[in-house]
Amino acid sequence: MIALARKTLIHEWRRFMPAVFAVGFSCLLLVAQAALVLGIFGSAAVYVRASGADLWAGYPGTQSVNFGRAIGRDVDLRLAMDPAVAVTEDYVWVDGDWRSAQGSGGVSVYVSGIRTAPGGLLFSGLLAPWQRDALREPGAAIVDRADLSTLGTAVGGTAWINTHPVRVVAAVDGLRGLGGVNVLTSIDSARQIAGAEATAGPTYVVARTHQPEQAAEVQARLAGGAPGFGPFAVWTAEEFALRSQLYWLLDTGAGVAVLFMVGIVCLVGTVVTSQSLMGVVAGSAREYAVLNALGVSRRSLGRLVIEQAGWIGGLGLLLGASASAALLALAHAYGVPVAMNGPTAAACALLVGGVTLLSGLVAMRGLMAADPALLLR
Amino acid sequence: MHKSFISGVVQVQVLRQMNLSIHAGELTLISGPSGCGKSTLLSLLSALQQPDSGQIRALGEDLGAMDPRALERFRLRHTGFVFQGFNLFPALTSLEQVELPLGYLGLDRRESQRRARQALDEVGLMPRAHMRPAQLSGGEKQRVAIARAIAKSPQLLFADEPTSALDADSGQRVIDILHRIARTHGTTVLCVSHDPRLIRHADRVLGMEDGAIRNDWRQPDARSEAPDA
Repeated sequence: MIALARKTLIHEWRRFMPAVFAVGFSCLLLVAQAALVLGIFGSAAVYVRASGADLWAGYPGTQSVNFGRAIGRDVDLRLAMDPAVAVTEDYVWVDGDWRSAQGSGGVSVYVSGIRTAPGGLLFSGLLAPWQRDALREPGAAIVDRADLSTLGTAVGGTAWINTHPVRVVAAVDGLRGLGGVNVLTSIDSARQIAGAEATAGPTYVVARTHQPEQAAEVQARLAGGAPGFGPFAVWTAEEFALRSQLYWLLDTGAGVAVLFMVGIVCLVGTVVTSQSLMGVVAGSAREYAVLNALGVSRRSLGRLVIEQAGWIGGLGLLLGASASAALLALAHAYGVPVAMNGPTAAACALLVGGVTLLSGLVAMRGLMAADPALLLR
Repeated sequence: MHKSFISGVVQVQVLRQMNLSIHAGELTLISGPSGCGKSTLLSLLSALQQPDSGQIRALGEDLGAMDPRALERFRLRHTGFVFQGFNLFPALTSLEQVELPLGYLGLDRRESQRRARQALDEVGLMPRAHMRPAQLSGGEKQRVAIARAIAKSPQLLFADEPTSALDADSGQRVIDILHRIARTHGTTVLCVSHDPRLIRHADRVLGMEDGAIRNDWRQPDARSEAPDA
């Protein structure tokens, strides 16, 4: 069988390039949108995902990491009592007001007081050992590199949080979150900034189990809390990360607005793709009519359209994937919160590819209502 | 048979009470002024359209009783079509143009190529087998179209103004080929044309006017027939 679809695509590539670009553009649009949503709302759970803990214990009903309340100071002991738990660690969360040495206005910051001993669980994915060690210095702080300008400081610079002096000892990448600037300090520094006593309970207790698979069992065992340890709830790391992300996505105005925008982008991408494909099929109307007049069945013509749409979709997706990779790399280099994973990329490709094929078929049905006898003159 | 079209709110009757028999193995020409219904008649007889009423029988089958899929199969197996505008595919070489419908007939690549070469040879275009339509003259394109039509050895060959877009020499070559096909292959060739050269070569000429056959002329060496009522 002569590969009419492929040969036509190659020989008349100029005719098909607009459709290929349209598919590629739609793919880029969808991927960029998805990457921004994942990046922006993924950063709501940076505290969980950048850490090596399997379990998080916090105040019952906490909607997101940044809404934590103090829990009992013995909760870490309760977790440690579970035979599946290997190690526990306190996490102190403080809402602060940052004032730089340059005297610019205040910036809302989220202070995370973490363990400074080697092997700490919190932010283990972001901190080098020397950086964690540097937090031992009283008032030492670590911030995200992209936030240095917002905070009006540089590495080595000084500032005040809630009138307590701090010194920036390092800057890392990937610490940016939602709602405020993240600052890492030691637990002691965080308590001083909060004006809390040393005996006050932490905001969270995190734990690592001997085997990651045991986290769900421990969570089930401690789901109802424990009498005598004060109110607390336990979530697996994955649960708590998702909980935080869903809160920001579904329960805030910003999240709903972003979801609405995602819907609009999907609609635009779908319309652009479908109209381009329909244009290509309509432009080949005479060829299809000739084939039908020669006796080629409509079913075979449908297969031809699918093949052509498949080629256009495939080339468009290739173009879109390349452009998306370049764009996301650029965004990442400039500290724009973007993130992508395999399932999301596959979903974007499936949506664009599916719309391409479907549009070709819909256009085909319209063409087949036309009369091949119109070829005569 | 009858056939009419609706244009806006107006129904235009194109063919009126037509009764016609086309004989096998001869070149029949339908001639007439513009708008007399020649192309519509051709599209009905070639199973591209259905009549509003009446019966069309070809090769022992009632075309009016067939569903669209059966009509497509009939066209694929039994008919060849030559259009005024050639209607070749810009991306395919001459050989591939002729091979294309053979693939849909279910022939394997080897057999398709053999038949395609044979058909191209018959129209004298093997030297142009690997050229695309943009590299061919009008006459050569029409000969490729004829080769495409005859490659599957159809019993019926329909040609719509096959020489009108061609110069004198090319047109004559096309006419000679069509005449030879009718004679040597036993194919029923039905042409619609104004071309007086085709009239000279036709075995039978049907004159149409206002949707009806007005006269039916045969070559002097063929058996004469009064026009059908």
